[in-house]
This record gives sequence, C-alpha cells and structure tokens, in this order.
Amino acid sequence: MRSEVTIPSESKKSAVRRVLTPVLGGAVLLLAGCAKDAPQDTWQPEGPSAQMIDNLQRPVFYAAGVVGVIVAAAVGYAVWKFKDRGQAIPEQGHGKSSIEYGGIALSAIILAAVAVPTFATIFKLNDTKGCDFTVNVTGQQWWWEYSYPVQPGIPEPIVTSGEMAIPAGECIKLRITSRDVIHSFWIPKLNGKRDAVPGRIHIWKIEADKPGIYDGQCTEFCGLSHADMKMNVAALNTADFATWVAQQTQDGPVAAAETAEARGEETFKAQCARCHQINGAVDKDGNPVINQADEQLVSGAAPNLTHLMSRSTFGGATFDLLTEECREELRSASPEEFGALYLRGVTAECLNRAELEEWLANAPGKKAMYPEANDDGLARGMPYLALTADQVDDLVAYLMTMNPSQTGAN
Amino acid sequence: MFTTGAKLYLGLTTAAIAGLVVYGTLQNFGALGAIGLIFLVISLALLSGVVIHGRDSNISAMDMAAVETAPAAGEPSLGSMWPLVGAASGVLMAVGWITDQRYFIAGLAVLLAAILEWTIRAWSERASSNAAYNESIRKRIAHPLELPLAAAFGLAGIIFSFSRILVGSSKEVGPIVLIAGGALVTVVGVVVAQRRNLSKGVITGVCSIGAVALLGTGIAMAGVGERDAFTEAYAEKHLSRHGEHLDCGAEPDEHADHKVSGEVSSTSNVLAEFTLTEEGLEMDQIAGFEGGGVLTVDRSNAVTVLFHSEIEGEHRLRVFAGSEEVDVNGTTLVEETEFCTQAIEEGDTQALTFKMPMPSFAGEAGEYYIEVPGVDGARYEIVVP
Repeated sequence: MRSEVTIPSESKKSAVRRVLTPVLGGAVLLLAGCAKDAPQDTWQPEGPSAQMIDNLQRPVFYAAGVVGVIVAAAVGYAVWKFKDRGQAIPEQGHGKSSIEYGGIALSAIILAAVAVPTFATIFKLNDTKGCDFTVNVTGQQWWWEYSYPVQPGIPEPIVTSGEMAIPAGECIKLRITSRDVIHSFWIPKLNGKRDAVPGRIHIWKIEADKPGIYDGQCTEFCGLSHADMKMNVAALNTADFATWVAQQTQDGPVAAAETAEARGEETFKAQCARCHQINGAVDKDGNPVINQADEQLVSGAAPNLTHLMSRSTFGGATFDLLTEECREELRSASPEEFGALYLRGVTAECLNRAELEEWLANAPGKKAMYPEANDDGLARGMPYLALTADQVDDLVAYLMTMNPSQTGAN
Repeated sequence: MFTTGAKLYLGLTTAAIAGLVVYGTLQNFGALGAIGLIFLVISLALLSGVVIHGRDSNISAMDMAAVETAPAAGEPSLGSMWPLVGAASGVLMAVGWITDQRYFIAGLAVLLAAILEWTIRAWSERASSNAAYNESIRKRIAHPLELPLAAAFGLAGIIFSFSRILVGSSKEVGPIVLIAGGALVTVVGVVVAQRRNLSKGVITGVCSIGAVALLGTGIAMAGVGERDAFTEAYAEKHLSRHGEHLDCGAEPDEHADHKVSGEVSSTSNVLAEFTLTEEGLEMDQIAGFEGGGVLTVDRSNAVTVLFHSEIEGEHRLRVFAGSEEVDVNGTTLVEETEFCTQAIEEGDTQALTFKMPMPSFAGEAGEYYIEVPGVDGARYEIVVP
C-alpha cells in the first residue's frame, strides 16, 4: 500500500506567510515595548518638564493610534471590497467632494487641537523663571563637561564631567554649548533635548522629582563615537548636594612617597596630565601642573579627573566605574538611601577594575576615537599610551585616591 | 551575461575595492577614508546588483543577436580628450609629489574627474546605434555632475579675482573698479537685451573675454599682493592675520579703530552683556544669572560678550587673559594674551569673542579680567575653573 504525502500548495504557503509576517512583526514591536531596564524611556517622566512633555505626547499618541487604526481599517476594507475578481472596471469619476473636504476639515481640526497644547508646552519648557541654580554644560567629542559657576551654594567654581550632580526638587538652569561640533543634550526622564552649538549658548532646564541617577544620550550625530557619548544626572537631596559641593571643592590628593600611588602619580604627570587636569597637582618645583589640552585636542579640553572616583562612570559616561553589584545597589537604592551611597564614591570593593585597566591599556581600542593628530597636530579622543601592565596598576592605585569621601569632606 | 550598465558599475565597484585595499593597507582600515571607501564599495555593489537585476531597464539587452549586430558594439566614433587630460593630471601629480602637496591633490582630483568622464563617454558611445541618442544619455548622466562643479569653480574664480583686485588696489581705486565693473556688466546686458539678433557666438565670445580678463587680472593682482595699509597693519601688529584687533589701549588706534561698526545682530548669542555708563561698567549675564560679580568662563571654550557704551568718547572692552614668557631668538619676552573690541562711540554696540587659554590657578588670584581701558573701576574678574 502506498502512503500519500501531502505537499502544501504554493497558495497555502503564501497564505501562511501573509498571516505570519505581520503577526511576527507586530509581536516583535509589542515585545520591544516590554523592556523593564529602559533608563532612557520618555514614557517614564521623573521631573516636571518631562511630565509636561508626557502630558502632551500621551493624548496625541493615543489619538494618532486611533486615527491610524481607522485609516488602516479603511484601506484594508477598500482593498478587500474592491479586489480584482474579474469584474468590469467601474465608471471613473472625480470622487466625492464631501468626503475630501470633510477629510481635510477633520485633519485641520485635529491638528489645530494638537497645536494649542503643543505651543503652550513649548513656551512653558523654555521658561526658566525660578530656575536659580545654573550649570554650564559643554559638549565635545565624545563627552560632556559640567561647570558650576560661583553662585549661592557654590563658593568656588566646580568642573566635572560625564555625571552632573544636581539638587533634587530644584529647577536647574543649563547653559549649553559645545567646543567642537554640534551635540545635543538629552536626559529623557527630566526634559526634552537641546542642541549644543559651538559659539552659542542655549538655555535649558531640568528638574528631578527625587534623588537618583538619570541617564541620557547625545542626540545629534557628532562623529565616530556619537553612540557612546552618554551622560548621567545624579540628583541629591539638599544636604547631600551640599556635601557633594564640599567634596568637589577640595584639591586632589598627594600620594605618599614610594608607593604604588606615587608611581602612578608620576606616570599620570608624564602621560595623562598633557590633557587631564588634577586640581592642586604640582611639579617637583612646586609649580601647578596645568594640562595643555588645547595643544593636543581639537576640542581643547579633556575631562578633569580631580574627583574621578566620586562618579559612577568614566570614558564619556560610557563605562561603569562600579562593579555590577555595586551599580545595581546604587541604582536600585531608595531616594532616602541614594545620597549616602552615591557620596561614598568608588570604594576598593566596588571598583570595576577590569574595565578601567582595559581603558588605560588601550582607550581607542575600547571606544572608537581619532587619537591620531590631524594636520594641526590635534587629535579627537584619548590615544594609545603604550603603558606597561605595572604602569596601569600604579595608575589605577593613583586614580583610586581621587575619591573625596575617602580623603576629606563627607 | 553582464549588460553594458552592469559592466560599468562592476568596474567602478572593482576600482573602489582596489582603492579600499590600497588605502587601508597604506593608512588604516579604521581610518575615516577607509570607512568612506567601504560605504562606496557597498553602494556601488548595490547599484551593480540593481542594474544586473533590472538588465539596464532594457529587456532587449538580453537579446544576444541585437547586441552582437548593433552598431553600439562597434568602435567608438569620436575621439576623446580625457586620456590627454588624465596624462596632464599625472604630470601635475608628479610635480606635486616633488614640490607641494596641494598640486598633488589637485592632480589627483583632475585624474579622478578625467577617469569618470572618460568612463561615462565610453559607456554612452556604446549605448545604442544612434549617436545623437548616445550623446543625450551622456549629458543626462554627466551634466548633473558637470554643471554644478563648473558653476562652483566659476563662482570661486569670480570671488577670488574680485577679492584679489580689491585688496591689492588702493582704497581710492577699489570703489572705482567696482563701479566700472558693474557699469560694464549693465551696458553689456542692455546691449544684448536690445539687439536680439546678436549671434550666440558673439555673446559667448564677449563673456569669455570678460571672464579671462577678470581671472587674469585677479591672478596678476594676487602676485602684486595686498595693499600697503594691510601689510603695515599686520607687520606692525595692529591686526592679526584673522583681522583681530591687537591695539587694546585706552586711546583709539588709526589702524584698528577705523570705520567702526557700532551695531550687532539681534540674534547674537552671548554669555554676558557689558554696559558702560556714567556709574561704571555694568555686567548682566544671560537669563538673569548674577554670577557673584565675576565672569566665569570655561577654559578653551569660545564665548561671546556684548559691549555697549552709553557715555561720551570712544571706549573699548578688553579681556586680559594672562601673560607668558616666550623665547624669541634667545631673548625672553613677556607676551600678553588679550582680546578687545574696537573703540566705539556713545550708543554703539560691539561683540567680542574670546577663549581663555589657561585656568585661573595657573596665575595669580584675580589675574584675568575684563575691563574698559582708561575708565577707573570699570573692571570685572574672570574666573576660569
């Protein structure tokens, strides 16, 4: 007896494909929206400005969704209803003017209805009255610098990078600019984005409802490592922020003689101090060690590392200074506990040593940059320094002294 | 089989791959040029695939008999100047290799253009048996490249010539040259408009003579150089080569403070505004920021401030950004870093863009400042973190 094998016909196969393709595509899109660890989610506002944007975008999104479904259904109905079944071509006419005018009028009404709250929100977002605390934000390839000019609460200027500390519950005025190309500053949970343009100062504001870390991303293509030009905002309660200010206004530490830290300091001054600054560092004659970044880099600046270990990231906020456990502990801390954990800085137990050592050993191999000098002798990013393993170890030991919570104010 | 268009694109793809291999080997496969070439290879390969798939948008291209017997398969009917241009560019590259990199780059650019033009011409001459049609498709492909480039070079030539003529002429002659040139263009335009029966050859000839005269004069004036007033101002260090004013004293200077512009665009985007009044110098930082009575300027970051004078006389705003000892032929000199506006009159405004090269802790406390020279107390400290 011969068994029969049923082979699906081409039409059945294509029917299956027709059904499966949109189902699978839709499922992928749907599941993509289920990500729990989405620190740059615009749908989870954590400050008044971001909340304003959310209040605007939600109803618009839902309305657009309804319109989209109606249009898709209408198109689907037309395709199915008037499918070519061999029938005669119907009489060709202009169409129905009432439907055309009605469609235009309906669209205009919807757009006008959306425009009113949109314009109101734009003006509110640009209103910085009441934002008494100012931070200068400067973008350059591929990191962000934050400087705090002298003002109430800031007795002397502070310069830091990658991670901006702000007092929670307070409106912060940002003066945003750039040293090289156009960048864009964006902390999705705190506000929308604002371009950083060389030679121009753009005013913006952010405010965090509660203490915590808020992640951001440069959103204007700015060259090779644009995707790795990240930034964080660490919001602290008022008392913790005052402690942070006290920490940041200290000078960098001086390493004890004939220690790994001292050897690291020598390596730092010989190799790293060409671009990076350690406030208070002096040479053997007692003169301040001042970086010459303007003679080395297109942007003319490199991150100030005086208090590197008071931050949780490095390399343009791209890499973690904290181990995974400590990072998780910090980021999942309650608003009440966050400040103490953050101000602790990077301890020896929490140091993500492997990542830092890899960076020191070969920074351009870890983050795409242009360390080769151009015709003007200027580079973009950190070069390969050809450090030995011992030099890297000594440098890490020296950098670990850059934690102000371990050396002074608390 | 490969169609004519496919051969063109596959050839270009192969050339791009060869370029990528050579460039990547000599430089670095991670370099920007190599990345550009990788994208070129991908783009050309994609176009090749599209052309092969679409069979040059011509189904008859698959007809072997037509291809073999068509005149398009024969020898090209026209001579081409592009091999000659290519050879000349090769000579230019050789000269540049020995003398100046700019000539080499110019030769390379011409060589690439010649190869492209030659390729397009050779392809178009085999496109069909109809020479007029072949020429039309050559134009259709080449003109979008040729015309904008020709316009760009033409405009660059005109700008270059006029700029050299004007900076080389004295201040009295310059306006006369401009007026005479404008009048001549107007007269020629009127004549052409009035006499419509002028032949195309005559108009082309007149325009060509005018273009050659303008370019020739420009090149000649470039050889003559800039007029003495400029060179003196540079030589005596009244002006930098970028036009920055180097005379920052209290008194107006005959070089730097000549024909001062007293207005600034309302769209200027500034860090702070300084207003000189009878009470002194007032500082107003943007968006109401007080700043504790000092101006904080981030290091190596170009910032702009506005200066407005409301008192009689001519005054300028000056930024003092420190001094350093420099060795000049064995002699140690102290060189000051300063920036200043021109001296402006009452009611005028000027913008000043500057960059602080050193942090404050590199010098003495209060070493950096912004002031109005000659006005007591009109000074603010600049803090550079």
